[in-house]
Amino acid sequence: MIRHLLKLVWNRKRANALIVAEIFVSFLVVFAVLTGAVAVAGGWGKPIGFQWQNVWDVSMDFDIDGGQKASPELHASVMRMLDEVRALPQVAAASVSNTPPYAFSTTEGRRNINGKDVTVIIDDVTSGFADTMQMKVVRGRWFNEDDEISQHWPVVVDTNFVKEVYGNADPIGQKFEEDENLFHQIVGVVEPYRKDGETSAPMNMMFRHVANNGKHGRLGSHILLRMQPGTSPQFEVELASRLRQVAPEVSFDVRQMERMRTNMLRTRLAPLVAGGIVGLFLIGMVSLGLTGVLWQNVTRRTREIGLRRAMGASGTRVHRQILAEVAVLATIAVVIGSIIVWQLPVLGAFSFVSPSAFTLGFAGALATIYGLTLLCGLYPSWLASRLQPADALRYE
Amino acid sequence: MLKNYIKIALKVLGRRKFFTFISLFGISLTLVVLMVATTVLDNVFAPRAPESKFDRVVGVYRLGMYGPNFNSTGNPGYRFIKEYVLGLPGAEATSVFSNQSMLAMYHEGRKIDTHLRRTDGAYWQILDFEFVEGGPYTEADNENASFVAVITDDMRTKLYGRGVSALDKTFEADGQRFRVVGVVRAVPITRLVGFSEIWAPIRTLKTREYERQWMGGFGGIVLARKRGDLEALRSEFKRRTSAFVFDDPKMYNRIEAGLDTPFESAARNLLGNQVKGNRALVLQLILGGMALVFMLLPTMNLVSINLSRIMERASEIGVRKAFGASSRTLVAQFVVENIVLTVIGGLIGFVLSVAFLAALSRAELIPYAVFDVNLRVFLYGLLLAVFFGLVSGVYPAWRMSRIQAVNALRGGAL
Repeated sequence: MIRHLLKLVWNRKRANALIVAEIFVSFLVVFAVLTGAVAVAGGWGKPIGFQWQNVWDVSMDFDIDGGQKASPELHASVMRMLDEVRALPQVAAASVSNTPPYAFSTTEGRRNINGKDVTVIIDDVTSGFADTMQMKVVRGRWFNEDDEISQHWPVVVDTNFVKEVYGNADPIGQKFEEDENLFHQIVGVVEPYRKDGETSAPMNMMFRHVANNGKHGRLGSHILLRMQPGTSPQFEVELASRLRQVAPEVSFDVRQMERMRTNMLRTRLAPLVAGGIVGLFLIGMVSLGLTGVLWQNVTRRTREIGLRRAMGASGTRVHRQILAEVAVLATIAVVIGSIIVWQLPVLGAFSFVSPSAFTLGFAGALATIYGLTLLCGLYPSWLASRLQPADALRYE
Repeated sequence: MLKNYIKIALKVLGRRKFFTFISLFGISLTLVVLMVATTVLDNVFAPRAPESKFDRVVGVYRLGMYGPNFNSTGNPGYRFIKEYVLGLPGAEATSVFSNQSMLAMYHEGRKIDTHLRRTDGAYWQILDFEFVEGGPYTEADNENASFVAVITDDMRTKLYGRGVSALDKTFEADGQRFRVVGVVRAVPITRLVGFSEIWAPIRTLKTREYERQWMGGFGGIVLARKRGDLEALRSEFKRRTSAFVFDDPKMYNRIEAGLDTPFESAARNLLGNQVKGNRALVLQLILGGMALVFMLLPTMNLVSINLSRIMERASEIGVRKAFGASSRTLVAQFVVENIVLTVIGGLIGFVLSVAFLAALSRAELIPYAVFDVNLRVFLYGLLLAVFFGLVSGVYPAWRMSRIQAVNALRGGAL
């Protein structure tokens, strides 16, 4: 049966090659869009490692060059601002951060730690950060006063970092070199932290301590505040004027993290939505085209179908034959597509997508393509099954 | 002859409505997507007000500093622009300006989220803003650190109410009090150099720290006398920066910067400094490649539909061949038919694009952006439609011309 079908398909290879090519490209499009959607949707439900609600961000207007330190005056101004906000009754906790969540800035570094080459995402924070972002420490401890005078540069890492670098060994107290004669020491481990929230891929996170006294650490340009629940947005006015009093020389802008989050989600999801719409339109167009071409095929094969009917084949069997031919075409396209798609993980091109998202996207694309092609074949094959043998044989 | 072909084409279109619908649907929607993309790119990169002189403006928007342990890339600092861009020999004018910074203003108890950009006086000569009232501040205002500002008409409405003159009124931003000297028409956020909502002199910055910084927060532009001067300016800039003296060669020992058009700057941002040679061309090829890949499916679809149509007309072709029509005539006829089809699809697509872009502008997804389809974009669209018609018409036409007249007349296998 299958051999017979393949023969039928092969006999009309020129016309069929185009259909196969179309289904093949559609398969790739559906696969790309679905994998992207699954990857984002899969990350959506997972914990992000912090709480953004009721966090405000005082974003200051200064840039400190890569390797340089802030001037002592600037450091003192920022610390004055930090002390000022911590004294306010509306503020539950506050901390300096360099690349806070949803701020569209990232510090990324490649390090060789414990003999492994790893990519780490870095933030520079003061001791109050865990309270401000309400993070959970799973091992060791968060930064405290002891770290102010530590002879090493204390860091807290997340469990992803530990798994990648130390496996099952105890990471607390481990040291690694940051710069000539300057060592980091791990003091604690927090739950997996996804810096840009729901749309972030999993990352190896490292928090470097910023000492209040300036002994170590790189001063960041954001002060994050956890407000008491129910603080009025109007309080921003008073906050801004108080900060201006203690540090008139610093320019800053006050923002609510909720708005920064909305902004980031919109920016990250827009390409996916646009891709989805374009993909949907392409698929719709191909389906219509396929229906038209199959319809035309059936009309052209009227005499062949008439002959089969005259030899005793029932309408259902003709119906089934046409659909089976379409399925064979789809299968050829999908096999070629699968061979190409499964090269991607080997080439490392899809490393930012988890294997499960990849598999799900693949399965979804398979189902969509088979479903659509059969749907397109349905009407033309029904037309074929209704042909009367006597009319069909006479057809010119 | 051509008139005849077009007549036949229209008749054929009316005969098989389902096929015509599929073809037109595919062509017009493909063109909508491509034209919306072209319009957005045109809005971002083409010289438009207030950057209408930007066909002869190049700027430094990005600086890379490299060393053994640190790499740093970002916007250049004030010091870099001042020493290497301002007063570049051969230029008509040069200007330095800060990036627009986000700013929360508290005006009469209300919060207004806005953008502030600080500039020198020359900025107002190189860019041509449309002033609704008042005028720009001058370089003397910048030197004296006068607290004067230019705002947009939109900002004027937010601060003082609709239609109220803002001249000589004051407002407080970031703890400083500015006096309004001019009001300009709002600028789309997509303009690299022109966008902001409030402009003030650079010297009004709170500290003079910026004067020491090589990296961060600023940009500089150069206006050439004529377009032909751009190459000379670029090589002069290259000569100047090749003599860059490093504060601490142990930290940084190499810099990477160039005078870019906005498109070249986007290419530098997207591709990075590592890509050498003509980055703008590489980006154009990438964008063109994406458009081609996008057009691949619709084209294949159109080809297969066209093939089906031809088979239907086998007997007509047989008759024409039997009466001596050459293959070339038949190919020409079919290609013309197909171009008629794609141009009709293109016109539908054009109308849909205009409607879609109007909706996009009204939705204000991109602040102050007004996406209007200009003649340039229309010509691109027409070109795309004709290209589309040629590509999807040639193969089916070739197949058609090879039909054997005898078989075709019999209505049998082709």
